[in-house]
Formats: sequence, C-alpha cells, structure tokens
Amino acid sequence: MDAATGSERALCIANIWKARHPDAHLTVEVEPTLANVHGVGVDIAWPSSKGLVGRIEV
Amino acid sequence: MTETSERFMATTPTEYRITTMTSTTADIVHPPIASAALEKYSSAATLSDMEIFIFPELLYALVLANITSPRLWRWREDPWFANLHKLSPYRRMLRLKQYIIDNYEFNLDLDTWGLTTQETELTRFEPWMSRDIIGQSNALFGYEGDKYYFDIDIRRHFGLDKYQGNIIPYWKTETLEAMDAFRHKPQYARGAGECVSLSTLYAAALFVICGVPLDDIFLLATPLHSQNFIDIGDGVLTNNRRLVTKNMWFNGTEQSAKAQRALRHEQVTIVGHHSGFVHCVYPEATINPAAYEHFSRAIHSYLSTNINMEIMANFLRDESVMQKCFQIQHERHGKQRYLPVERLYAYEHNSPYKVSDSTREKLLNEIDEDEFFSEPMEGRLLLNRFDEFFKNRQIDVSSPADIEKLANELKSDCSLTKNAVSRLVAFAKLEPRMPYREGHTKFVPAQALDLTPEMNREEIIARLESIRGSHVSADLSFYAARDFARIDWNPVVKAAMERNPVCIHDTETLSDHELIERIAALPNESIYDGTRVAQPDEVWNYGRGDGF
Repeated sequence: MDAATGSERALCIANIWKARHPDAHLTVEVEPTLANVHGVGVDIAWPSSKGLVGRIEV
Repeated sequence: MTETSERFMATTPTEYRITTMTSTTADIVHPPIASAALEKYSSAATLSDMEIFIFPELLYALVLANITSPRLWRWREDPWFANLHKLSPYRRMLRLKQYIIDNYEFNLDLDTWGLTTQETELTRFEPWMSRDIIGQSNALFGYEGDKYYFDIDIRRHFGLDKYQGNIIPYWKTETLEAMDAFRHKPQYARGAGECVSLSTLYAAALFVICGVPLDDIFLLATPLHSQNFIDIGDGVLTNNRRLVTKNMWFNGTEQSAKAQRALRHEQVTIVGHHSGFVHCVYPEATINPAAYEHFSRAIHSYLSTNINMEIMANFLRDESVMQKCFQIQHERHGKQRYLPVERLYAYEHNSPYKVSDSTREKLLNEIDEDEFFSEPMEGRLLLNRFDEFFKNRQIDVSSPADIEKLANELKSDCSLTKNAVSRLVAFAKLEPRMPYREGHTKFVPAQALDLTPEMNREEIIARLESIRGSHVSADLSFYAARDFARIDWNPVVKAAMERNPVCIHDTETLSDHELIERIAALPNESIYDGTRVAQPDEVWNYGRGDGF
C-alpha cells in the first residue's frame, strides 16, 4: 500500500477495522513523519505531518 | 430497530494500550488520566450535548479550545475586521455577527455524527447522574419541555421523532475547525455548526476578535438550546448566528419569538463563565458568586421592560390573534375612518414603517382607501385610546397598582382579549428558570483563568498550560482541541474507538481491501493545524486526513 495518509487516517481505519473484526489486534505506531498500522492484513506505513511519536494498541 | 441503524451505532468499549506519547516539538510525556476521570476527558473529544450536560466543565473547555485555535486568530488578519478597535463594542459585535452569518450555517442534521442508544449513554453517565434526572433534563432522554413545546411538537421540530425508542443521535458539538470543514461536505457551501458550536464560537470570537472581556460573557445552556448573554449596554443575547438586543427582544417579531423560545420555555441547565459554572443538578457551583449575582441582575434587567405604547403594539404584533379585538381610527380627507388592526400589521410586512413607533402615520397613509370602514367596528377597542393612555405614562410591570390601571383600559367584550393583561405582563417580563437554587447550590472557590483581551495567543496557551493542574476546563481544553502533543492520548483514542460510528456505517459495503484503498485515497490534508488530530468521523465526514 503506497498511498499517503497519516495518524488521523490510521486512527480512522483502526476504528472501522476493530468494528468489523472485534478480535483483531491492531497496533498504530506513530513516528514524526510516519504512521504505521499493523494487524489489518497488510502492514501500512503512511506519511504524517503531525510530528508525533506514540504507539496505540487496540 | 433496523439492521442498518444497529450498525450505525457506537462500538463496544474495549481496552487500549498507548505508550510513548510525545511530539517531536515538545518531548513531554503527559501523565495518564486517572480511570475515574477517563470518561470526562474522553468526552472532551466528542463533545456531545449530553456529555456537556453531564460534565459542565466541557462547555468552557470548548470556548478555550476555540480561543487558542490559530484559525480564529487568523480572522484578525481578515480585512473585514480592519480598524475594529475604532468601533464601539456593540458595533464590533455587529461586524462579527455579519462575518458569522456570511461564513456559517446553522446545522440541525442530527445524523451528522451518528447514533448511539440511550442505554449505552445512561450506563456511561450513571456514576455522575441518575437515569431519572437525565430523563427530566435532556431532550435525548425523554425531556419534552412544557406545554408550549408539547403543542408545537418539539421532538418533531428538531427531527427527534424519527429516532424510535432507544436510539438517539450523538448531537456532537463542533470545534471551530470542524465547523469550517463543513464546506468540504457535499451540499454545504459554507462552514456550519449546531447551537452549542455557534455559541462557543461566538464567545471565543467576541474575546479574540472584538476584545470583549471574558468577564462580560455568560454561556447559557438549556435542554434544547445554547445561547450567550453578553453584558454590554442593556445586554445582548446570541441566538445561533444572530444577536438579539433588548429592543429586539421586545419587538414582537417572529424572529424574536424564536430567540426567546429557550429562555421562555426551558430550564437553564448550565451558566458558564470564565470564573466557573453553575449547574441545575450539581450542588457545587464554581462560578464566582459576585459574577453570578451581577449576571443575574443584568439578565433580569434585559428580560424586563416597562409597558408603553411601543411595547403594547409589539405585544399585539406577537399575539396576532388578539389583533382582531382592536381597530385604529385614522383621518382621511377630513373624515374619520376605521381600520381593523390586523390589516395594519399585514401592511407592515412590506413597509419600512411600523405600527409600534412614530412611523405609524406613514404606514396608515400607505394603506388603500377601501381597507377602511366609515363607522367604528363593534366590539373592537380603539388602539388610539392607548396612545392617550400611555402619553406621559409607563406601566411598571412589578407594580400591582399600575397593572390594575392597565387592566381597566384593556377591558373589552372581545373574548380574544381574555388574559390579555397577564399575557402582556408576561411579554414584558420574563423570569428565567436559572440553575442556581437557594439552599441547594453552594459556591466553591475556583482557580481564576486570568485571560485578558490584551494577551496574544502564545501567552494564553502558556497561561492555560500553567494552570492545568488546578483548572479542569483549562486542562480539558487541550483535549477538546485534540492536541496530541499536549495530552494523554488514551481518552481521545477511547473516544475515537467508541463514539465514531459514521465511518463504520458508511463503509460497511466495502471489502477490507476496498476500505484501505478508500481511506488511503482521501486528500492529504488535516482539518487541524499542527499536532491536533481529527477524530475518525471528522476524517470521514470531511473526506480528508493528515498526510504530507
């Protein structure tokens, strides 16, 4: 997946994915210029302009 | 309940684990919000009307989030606001009003932020408020208002009747950024927001743009509305996008009647002020007692007037049924003629002249000869008689002797004038149902915000940062702003995962692969500046998300 998105879209997809697959284990890794989503079948790494660092597990 | 509406509803609470939350610009790890406060802090990111009712600190938190919004400060650079300092405070407010009217719509589409259930929300709120009290005080949980609201079928008016049984809309309040972003939604040419969004925007903009001290701004929430009282001159009330002066309040027009609806027919549930709040249910009031007393005097004065000929004529404009009990005598070509008063008011619609002021004679001269009768009409009072009665006299609505004099003048055979005096007095004096209750409400000291119109944005943010530990609304304002560099992420992620049903509903026909492609294809643009992060339904509704 090479489309560009970021932390907002990562959170959006995590919300939808978790509703579809309640047992899925998702991780959103936010780096200063990147948001990675793991656990949605494919690993997604999308650029971000928010400059944030963090890790969200749902 | 349909299958679709089930899917439209919020998702079940789950566990979230969030670590290493910082931004590259400020390497500060914010302490985690205690579990007991998680619901309140999480509500700052969703800001539904019901959440604001349960957690009243959220009301001012949103004002502060708007005050610190870089978007609002950019309004200062708009030529529309050039040389604003040369204008009187009221003229500044008029400039602001026109800007808001030009750039924002009032949005009453309750589907905007999706659906939840009464049961889900009542369970969430149970630690703070009983189900019965919520049911009596909140429109989404059974509140139907007084007889007036019942008569106009208020639930249908607000579109609440389409939500059957247990299902209710979120009715979320928007930040300034979310209001602006409505222009990205299909069918919206401008920004938009519901009543709390508009009232909190007004409060913030009055401070940042018009230089009105926060001390003069009071936010009033009722079960179905939200307005501000601005303590300038005789007082000004905001009503969605508009402003209502004391003169307008008593002018008897349909628009004023709409502006009066909440204060006339609803309990004020929260009064919010920079010094704190007072709530109709919670006994502890953080608002400064002297500020509340001052406000109480000011709004009572705003909502009350002596009765003179102008007020009497305005009253008849408002009470159109009663017009049929009045006629007006007018001289035409040296002869006395008589006109049913309802005809006179009808001509007002297309005329700059009014029944109620000194232009009445010009209005009468515009009326065609054949509208007049040559003889007085039986059973109708002469309006001219009241000109005489009110000459050099005003009726003090708090004086029984004055009221009696007025009652004698209004005696009539016309059945439609039944209760005319009490209705006229009620028109001229409104006793609002305020949240302060003697013997129940207790004022408690609270940290002062100490924000002044002379401060710049950076100074305001620094001040709010410095008092976060002792001022809940200041702390919550960073959560309402969704500023991930300045908060514990956990409450906002909780809100994102539990109370954002629209994107789930709207994508349910897409395969997983299509879903990822669809989200990835959104424009690379955040509605929020800097380190502020949109909620999932903001990303979906406005069709854009953070990226390069």
